[in-house]
Amino acid sequence: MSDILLKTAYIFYLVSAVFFCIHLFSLNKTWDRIARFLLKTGFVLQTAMVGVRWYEAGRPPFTSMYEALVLFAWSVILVYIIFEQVYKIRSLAIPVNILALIFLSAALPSESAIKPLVPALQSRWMSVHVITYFIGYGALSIAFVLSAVYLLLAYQKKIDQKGLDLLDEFTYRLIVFGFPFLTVGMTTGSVWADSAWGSYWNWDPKETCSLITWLVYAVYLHARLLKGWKGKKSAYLSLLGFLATLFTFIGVNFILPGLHSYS
Amino acid sequence: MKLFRENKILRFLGSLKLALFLFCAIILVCFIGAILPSILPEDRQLDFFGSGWFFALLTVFGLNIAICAFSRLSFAAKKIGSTLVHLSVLLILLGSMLSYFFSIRGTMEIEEGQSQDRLMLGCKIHKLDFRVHLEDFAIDWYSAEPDKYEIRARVDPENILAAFRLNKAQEQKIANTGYSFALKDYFSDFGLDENMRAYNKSSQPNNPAVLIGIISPSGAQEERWVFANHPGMGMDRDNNIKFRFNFQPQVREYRSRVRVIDEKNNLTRNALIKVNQPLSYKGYSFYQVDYDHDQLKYTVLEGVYDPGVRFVFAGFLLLNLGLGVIFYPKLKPGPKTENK
Repeated sequence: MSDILLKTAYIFYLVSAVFFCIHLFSLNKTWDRIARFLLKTGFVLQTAMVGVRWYEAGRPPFTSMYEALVLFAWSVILVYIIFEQVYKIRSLAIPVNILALIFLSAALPSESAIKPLVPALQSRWMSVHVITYFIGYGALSIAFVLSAVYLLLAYQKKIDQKGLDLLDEFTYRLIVFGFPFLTVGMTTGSVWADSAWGSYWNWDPKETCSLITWLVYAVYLHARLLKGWKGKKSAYLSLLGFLATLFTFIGVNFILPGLHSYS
Repeated sequence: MKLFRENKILRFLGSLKLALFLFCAIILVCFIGAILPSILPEDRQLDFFGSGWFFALLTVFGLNIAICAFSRLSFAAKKIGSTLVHLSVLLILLGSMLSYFFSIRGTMEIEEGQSQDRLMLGCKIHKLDFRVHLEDFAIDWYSAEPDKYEIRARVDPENILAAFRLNKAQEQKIANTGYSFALKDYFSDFGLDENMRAYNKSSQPNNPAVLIGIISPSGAQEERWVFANHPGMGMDRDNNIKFRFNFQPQVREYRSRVRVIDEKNNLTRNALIKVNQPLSYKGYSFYQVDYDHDQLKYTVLEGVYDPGVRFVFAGFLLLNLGLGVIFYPKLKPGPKTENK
């Protein structure tokens, strides 16, 4: 059942992306409205998928790479919906749609069988730790796309300063939104590690890399708030932060074995 | 405050420039520390994060934060978030230092029905002033029997390999060999009685084995036990055909029911220790870390005395609170986010 829901959500995102493209060329607002509707319907279906899989597995569905990628896509859209509600910003929909499709395209071919949990993962902290981390990741990945777009447009000089400032401001706000979630994720993970292994910090590669990611964004926020870094400098830092995020999320699992080898 | 502003050294030590430099230095060092263990050979591993110079780096970082926090110490609404965050990092560093210097960590093996009052700290022994008595140790498996039986067969001299996922009693031909076989029985805990007859010792998957009935190309029949944990074991009449039985039962949970006996205070306390559910007593915490994999007779607990952990967790709480106070107002829509 959860597989069918996910595939349906994927089709909704895909069709939504096609309609966004048509809107970009035709500038007809109807296409944009339909695309947005499809994106949100896809999100509702994906939320249902997460719920159904949670029920089917009898545990939070956040433990395999398949489940993590699905959650990543879900978080990206969740953050977009929050930002759309708060700031009435609509232009984020396209990068968000692309990101969700990338994560789901990676998830769908991977092993989706529900596997039982090892004892260390059977903890109430898991849901808080993983969900907060992924909401943080969602915000930071959208910030990454905006930074990349910022740099592209800034070097090509295809947009006026006002437009660039707006991109820069939203990148900053996404990082401001994501950073506290990253912090809750990291600290709850540490509390969980203490209850499972009796040590709140083991310098395991995944822990160390998550600290690196946190520090890179801490540098971004210090540089921005106290040194006034804006524009290209802060865009580069945002790119670096997301590279650290990706390395923590995916790279460590394949390159550096440790306590998080199961995730 | 005036002292912080006027003294050049203190001003430098509490500067943002130094803070950014230290952030970058810690990022670089952490990155090297994360990848080194996978690069260095086993016998040349370093205690990278326990080294003196890493400790010195964190001390300078702590000093930077302390001077920065105290030179601008303010509980005004606008500054309280920043004050909380800086104090929280100091608290976390203080807690980590206490953990590093004063924590005690050792293992304790206890057999069922026995008591233990010592922690093994490598070669040293740390004596406790109370005893931990193991009432019983239990283990739960997700399944003691596979849903499908994974059997691999090799037929010589042609070296024909075949893999199957079968149900019990299902007959299977091995293509191009003339052999066929069927799964006749399954024991989760194979044993032999005094008459050398096979029997199932328990419902625990301690020694999973399948009984395979083989029909050779000549029509000769043979029954053979194949063991998941001991692939080469068995008395085979027909040496031309070999089987492997793949089954890795997965542990759902293991737990120790213990009684803490504190004779000094004339106290006893019953507790259940599981992974993610430690027992705390007199500043010590006991974690379920391992068990006797062969006989399931003893448990392995890790005993930890860590005076820093409370400071670290208090720091975490303050850090999250402080970040919320700083960043929540910055997310409010304003003129900068209009005209999109």
